[in-house]
Amino acid sequence: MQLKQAVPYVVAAYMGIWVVLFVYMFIVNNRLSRLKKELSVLSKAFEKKGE
Amino acid sequence: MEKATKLLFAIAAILLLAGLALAFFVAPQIVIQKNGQYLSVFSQKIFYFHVPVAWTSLLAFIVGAVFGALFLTKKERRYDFLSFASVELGFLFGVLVMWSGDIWTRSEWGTWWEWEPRLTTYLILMLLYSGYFVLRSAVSEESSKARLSAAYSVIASVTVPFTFFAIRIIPSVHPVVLSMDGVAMEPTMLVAMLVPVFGMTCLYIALLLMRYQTLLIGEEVDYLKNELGG
Amino acid sequence: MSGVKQIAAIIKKDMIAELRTKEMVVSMFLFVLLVMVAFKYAFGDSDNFSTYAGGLLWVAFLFTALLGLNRSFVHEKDEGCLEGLLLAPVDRPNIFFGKMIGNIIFISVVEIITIPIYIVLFKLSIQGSIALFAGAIILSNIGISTVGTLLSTVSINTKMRDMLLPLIFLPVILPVLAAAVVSTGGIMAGVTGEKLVNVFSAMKLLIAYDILFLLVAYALYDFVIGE
Repeated sequence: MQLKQAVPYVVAAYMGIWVVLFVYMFIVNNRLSRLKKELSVLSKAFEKKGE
Repeated sequence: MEKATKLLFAIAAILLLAGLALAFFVAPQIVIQKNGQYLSVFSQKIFYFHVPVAWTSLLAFIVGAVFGALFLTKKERRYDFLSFASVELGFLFGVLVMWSGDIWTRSEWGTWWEWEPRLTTYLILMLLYSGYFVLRSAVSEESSKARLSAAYSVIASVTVPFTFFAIRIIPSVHPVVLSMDGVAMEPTMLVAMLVPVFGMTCLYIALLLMRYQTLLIGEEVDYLKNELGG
Repeated sequence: MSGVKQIAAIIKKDMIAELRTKEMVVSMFLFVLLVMVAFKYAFGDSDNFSTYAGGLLWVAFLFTALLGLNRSFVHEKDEGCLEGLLLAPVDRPNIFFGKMIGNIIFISVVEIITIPIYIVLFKLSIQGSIALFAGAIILSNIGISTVGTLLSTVSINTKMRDMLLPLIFLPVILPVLAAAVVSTGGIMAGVTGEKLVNVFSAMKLLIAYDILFLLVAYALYDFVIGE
């Protein structure tokens, strides 16, 4: 297949790879920071309860 | 661990960007002769990232099985987390393999699906590891969940090479396909492929560490919630 | 009790239970027949089934095996027999081998009854060596029972139980299906030359699969069956 016809396919293949990887990274990163916040709140509460 | 993750992300970003540049600006354009005409095969550029993604996905499944086996022998929770995170990433990269492979099929053969050995192998792999996630969701008790899914990750990884060979003994109706091994690889092409291979591997390790951390912290949060609630 | 005796005792127990009710073999046999009738209608008015000989055979056998594999642990679990079996002084791998050989026997009995009927119904014949044909079937049965017994033990310990088994069993058994279809189909068609080489490489694949999964099952069964 020639250059012009192949361009949209190559773009689609690369875009797919990058979009999926970025979305996954975004989701995991969000969850990580949310959990970290939750952890710090909970461990403070736990310390208070211990006192 | 967070520092290591960040460093790996940075290395991955550099290598992958370099890989992109190498693939599109340095590696020579493949030209084939067909019916006396010279045609440039631009769709071949997909392979510069298709192959690294495929490699990473297989690596992730193997690592998942190794951590699964480690969990079964050592019984430490963190190995289950690492195994699960790795299988999840293997599945994610596997989806990308199928996506980029299928787009290539569409551009080269004009069909959305071809029962081509490599693509078929990946389809079966995806089904095989879908079972892993269904299995995990079907067990509520944490320790049996870890135990059964670790065993399944080992079983699935043993199945992979058999799937690979079994598909190839079925007489194929499709003619020999134009592939990377059919074309003599020039040194620049090899470099353009190896750089993203290393980049994807770094990205995989970074993502694995990040996912692992969410599982670790998640467990701690659950524990604290239980303690506070009870 | 020595290992062989333990295995024999488990097989004997399953056989006696089966001979009393005959539910497993009868239902598996009826199921195969129904699948074959379904094939006849699924393929329309085609009268030449020889191209699909191996495929028809193994799709039917695989789903029948699935039916039997589900049963083999469901009633043990339901009636609390599995706990009894685990409490008994029997080595865990021996439970596996006993159950696996029992499953091979059930599948083989059903196959021996069905193959002649199948050949008559679809106007087929075995043109190659019968011994080779039997060999390919035995090798496939070992693979199906090994993986099937291992994975049905996994699925019975989950909430989904028999719903889960097909989802994890079919992708793992696919190499056996492919190799069994290529080998038995080739032998039935009486192929020679390069295609016969294909038959042999399929059988080699079956041998490798059986050996490797027997080892995997031996190593993992302790973990799979429960604490």
